[in-house]
Amino acid sequence: MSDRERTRTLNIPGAEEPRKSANMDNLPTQVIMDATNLKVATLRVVDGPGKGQERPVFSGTNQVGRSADNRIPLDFGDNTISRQQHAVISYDTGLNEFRIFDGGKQNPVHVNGERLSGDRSLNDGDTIKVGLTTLRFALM
Amino acid sequence: MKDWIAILWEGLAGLAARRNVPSQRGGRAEPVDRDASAGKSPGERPPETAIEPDVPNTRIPPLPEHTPVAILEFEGPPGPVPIKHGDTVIGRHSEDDVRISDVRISRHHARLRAGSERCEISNLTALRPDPNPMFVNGTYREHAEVVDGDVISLGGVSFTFRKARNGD
Repeated sequence: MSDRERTRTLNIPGAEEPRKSANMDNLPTQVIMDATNLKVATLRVVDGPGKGQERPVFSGTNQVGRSADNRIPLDFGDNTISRQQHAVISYDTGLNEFRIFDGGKQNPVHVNGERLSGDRSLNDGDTIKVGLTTLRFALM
Repeated sequence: MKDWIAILWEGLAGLAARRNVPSQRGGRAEPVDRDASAGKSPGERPPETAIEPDVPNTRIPPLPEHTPVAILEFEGPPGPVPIKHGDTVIGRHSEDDVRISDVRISRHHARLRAGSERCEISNLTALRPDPNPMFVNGTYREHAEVVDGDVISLGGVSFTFRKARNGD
């Protein structure tokens, strides 16, 4: 049901400001059934309609969105989250680095209260806000 | 091809009747009535040689290589995308001809070869040890001929292939 619903725009200051779109040219393609499909971190919903829920973050590229077919599905009825690719979280095993990319959708992404522009690294304990949902990023 | 014939026919008919045949296509500039603009009554017509240089050059059709051969219809962004004659690379990379910003799609995922008669699509990741799948109407394909109405899925992102109408 929430899959067919249109994404609602949040009335927040600066929402109409142009954002720098993330360059995802070097990002590996998301593979759902990776041979390892290793869980490397978790996202815990600390505020919003899905409060208390948890989603694993896998090795590689993870699409974050409201639809159930995202690798990180935030499918608990927050219609301010875009259906597909509101954000992307990647884990590079070689560099041992997590990064978060802005999907360039209607509502912005905030990391630790700072509006995401393009992409940035993600560290243990960071908070991510997508739509009305706040997530806490924790390493496994 | 039909376009060219229609335009040629229009031109010939116009010359023969010494009047302009209304254009069959929308959006084109209609030639002005030369008799009215010259201040002459419609009955008096100048000799053919005199009107020849005045014929407005508005009937040149777009070159075939610039006419869309097909349209890819995406439900979400990028929406409907016109495809020109020749090769088109579809993928996530900023250098691709058709760019789909979705991490499920490979950076250079498929190549569409569009000819005037037939269009073919190939999965550019097919030779990799772990190809990113391409489905045409739900069937896994490495290479396929596509026709109007076919639904192509690249890594889970679907779009409909529409053959552009030409000549009417």
